[in-house]
Amino acid sequence: MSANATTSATKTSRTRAKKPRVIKASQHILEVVSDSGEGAQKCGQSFGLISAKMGNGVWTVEIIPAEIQPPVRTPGSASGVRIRLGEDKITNWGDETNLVIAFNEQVLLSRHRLDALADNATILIESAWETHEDPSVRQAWTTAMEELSTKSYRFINVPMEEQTLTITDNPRRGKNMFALGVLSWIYKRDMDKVRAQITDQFVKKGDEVVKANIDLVELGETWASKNIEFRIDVKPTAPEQEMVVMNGNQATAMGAIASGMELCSMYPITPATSVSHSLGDIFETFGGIVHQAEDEIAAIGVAIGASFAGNVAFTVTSGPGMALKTEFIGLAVMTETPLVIVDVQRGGPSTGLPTKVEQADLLAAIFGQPGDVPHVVMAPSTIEDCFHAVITARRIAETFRCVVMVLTDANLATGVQPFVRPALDTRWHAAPLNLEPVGDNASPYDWNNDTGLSQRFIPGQPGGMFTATGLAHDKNSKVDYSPDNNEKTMAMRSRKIAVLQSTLKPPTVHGEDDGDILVVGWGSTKGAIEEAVDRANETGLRASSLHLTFLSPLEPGLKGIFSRFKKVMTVEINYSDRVGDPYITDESRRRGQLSWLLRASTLADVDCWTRVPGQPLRPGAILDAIVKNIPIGATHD
Amino acid sequence: MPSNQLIESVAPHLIASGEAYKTAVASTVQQVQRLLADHRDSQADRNENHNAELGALGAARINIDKFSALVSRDETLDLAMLEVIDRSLTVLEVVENMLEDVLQIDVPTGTRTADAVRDAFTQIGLAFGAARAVHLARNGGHTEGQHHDLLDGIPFRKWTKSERMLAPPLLLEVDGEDLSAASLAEFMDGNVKLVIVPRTPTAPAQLVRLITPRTFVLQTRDPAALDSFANWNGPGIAMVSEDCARFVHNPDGGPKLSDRLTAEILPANPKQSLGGISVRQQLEELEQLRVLTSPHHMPVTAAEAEASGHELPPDPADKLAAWLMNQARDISAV
Repeated sequence: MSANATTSATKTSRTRAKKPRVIKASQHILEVVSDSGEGAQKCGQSFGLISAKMGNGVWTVEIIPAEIQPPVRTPGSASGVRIRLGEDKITNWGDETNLVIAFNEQVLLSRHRLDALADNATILIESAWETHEDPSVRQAWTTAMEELSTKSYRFINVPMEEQTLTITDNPRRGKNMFALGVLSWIYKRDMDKVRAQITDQFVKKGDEVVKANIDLVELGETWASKNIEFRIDVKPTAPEQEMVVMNGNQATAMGAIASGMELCSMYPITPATSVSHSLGDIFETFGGIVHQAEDEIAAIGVAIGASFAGNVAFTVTSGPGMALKTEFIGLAVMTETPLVIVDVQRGGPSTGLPTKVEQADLLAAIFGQPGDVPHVVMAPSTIEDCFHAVITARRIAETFRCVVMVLTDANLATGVQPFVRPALDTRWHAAPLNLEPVGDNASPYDWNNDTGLSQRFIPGQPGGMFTATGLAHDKNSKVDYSPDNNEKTMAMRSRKIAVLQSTLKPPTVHGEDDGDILVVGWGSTKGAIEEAVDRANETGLRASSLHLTFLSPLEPGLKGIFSRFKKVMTVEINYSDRVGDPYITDESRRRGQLSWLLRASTLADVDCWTRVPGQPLRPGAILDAIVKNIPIGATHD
Repeated sequence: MPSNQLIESVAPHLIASGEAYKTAVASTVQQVQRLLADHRDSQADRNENHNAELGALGAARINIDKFSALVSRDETLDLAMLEVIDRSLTVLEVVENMLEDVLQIDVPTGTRTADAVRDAFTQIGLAFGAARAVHLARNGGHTEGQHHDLLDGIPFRKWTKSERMLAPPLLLEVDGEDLSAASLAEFMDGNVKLVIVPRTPTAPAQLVRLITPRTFVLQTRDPAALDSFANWNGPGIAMVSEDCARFVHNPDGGPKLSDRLTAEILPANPKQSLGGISVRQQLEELEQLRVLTSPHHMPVTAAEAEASGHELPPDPADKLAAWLMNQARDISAV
């Protein structure tokens, strides 16, 4: 791609007089990308929300720079959103971007270097840099264009700054709405819905700000209608049921309210914090409290205390926070205090990739506590699941007097997807606590020998007073170090998890019940895995997939399901050694975390294909992995 | 302005303060329905409830027969206790269905306001009585001999502290001659809010008799003052009238009476008795309002007191010394 071609494209677009060409597509992927702070995320998320409200299937993924204030006009400053738009439901972010609107060439370069863009992607780019007064900027533009010319991108120059300056003095704060107007015209968005979205978004800042932003959007729309020669038609489908649109953290917050949670005790940590922000706006209206504790340990301590006192409490964190909470998780398990912990996973180890996705907390979540700490771990796989998972987690935590960890991740946390509005049910609040006076001989840990379950006493319940302790204790909560007591209490706490497992249904296989390869996943990869499997089947491969929600205890019947496939392979966003790398043997190889878990619990030879790109997996990449890993000699239909 | 228009202008301000009672009744109804369902439903019904409790994600992955078998209560209630709970639920549902946003009472001519309030609270206390009966029945502690009257409503004097905090506001339209504010003092507790709208002339500063540090008392038509009154988390009484004295005693104003009490309008001295309240009594109330709002009533500094010839309030140390002297005398007597 040369600078000449860019100019030519611009010239063509600016002299367009004929009716624009309409490209019909069942789905399309677009990105808005700018320097951090220029508002590309607001533009992209607004576009996603508007599209979802129109009835399109949508999945958005935020492009977040690793640093808070990276230097501008550098690839590291790229910030924005990828939006996959479809006629029907969209379950993942797809493979390659078809259209980009970039606020400068450096942030575009970042996307190019990540292979995020299709070879023939259409790129709308701010034209001001090409003729910038600073020669170093012009040079950077030229160099970038040379690098970008290795692909067959189609460039369209957009005078964003020039146009935006006709309305605002500060184009850095206006380009994003101009870009939204351009995209709205290209994708034939309903302008009334666009205006309503802008109004909704800026209403707190006053009428003047709302008007200025709507003016900018309309300016972009008008400019595009005069200068862009094509439109893309991804038809919205009017939904049969009422839909809601939100990201995973918002869904988690809404689920917490719907489930009757009374306390969210947390300490801010990326990417989990926005759960508390969502709650902060409205939780009090429903009788809830968000408590921002002084640190992660205090946060879980407060949640345990509240739950011990009979309230319904949860804490939200991410990997490094989970590490700090470890000791108190043990206390909650030892005292059999119901507790829900939401871990919004991010890239690790240590502070790792704070803003990026990874599924690397699985084994730490299940086994990461010193001593034997039996508890429940489950993972929602869609944004809708994030809502419902909290309800399920609460019920299990209270029924089994146990800790339930809900593992979401940065992909779910920030991604936006429409889903059917949940029909609220007061039964989600579960049965009111039984506060009847306890009998004279009742004990706070009067375990049923078969199930390990016992009645939960609440402070203030007549006759129910007892001293809780993290030390080994007997059924009366009296400290007891005797061997028999220790054996029994360990068994009782563990038994509850087995009892829960006995109630779980075997998981459903996506695709045929037998075949050549079974892909097993968990968490946010579900949409991408199932799309890859569907594509594999379309090419005649006999692939199926299985997605696990319960990871501790594992869902039953896995060994039987695995036995019906020639190969079983997990697909995960965590690290595993690659076969063939130096020193990596079958013995030394460190595998994907679910792979370890399944091998240990089923004794099946479960292989893995994992990647840690700091971004969601693409269905195309998973398809490649399926093709490469399908057993030699596998049958094709 | 006619009294019905006054009521229409006042009622919206009170809606929020009635929410606690409405919500408590509604959630109690739900809990009792669930309790009965737990004991009476078929296994299929129980399963359906447990399925719902798990939410969509759990319900799709958990075998509800097995789960339900785990969580179903194994204790049972005998038929007599179930009957009590059932009757209590009927009472609760009746109360729930008769609740309006604000309980408005058109007090018949000749009925003392305090009696009307007492009756209304006994009706409201039906819910409290029913809730107590359920609690006793669940514990197996309900006996017809001792507790048969719980479902007839609990009078205000027997309400607990928590129940008084849940009291919904009452909006009473009364004949001015039937209003005797002093007789309403017994209700000034918890979160009780009474709003009086006189249909006919009434003693102009009656409510001044009810001013205590933590009671919101106002005679006003100011919407902002009514909002503050409705949002006050404590007892209060308001009179909304065209002709009476206008004053606001807002406990949130501060520790000094002068910060809490402001008077806007003091009407001319009354010249005729109203109902049982003589001219002298009316004048006394007006004078009391004047005194309480006058600068002389404010606590004075030592210098101000000396200059004005006022006696200083006793020093705390002097009070302690006097008390000790008294004790000493008592001991010597022994």
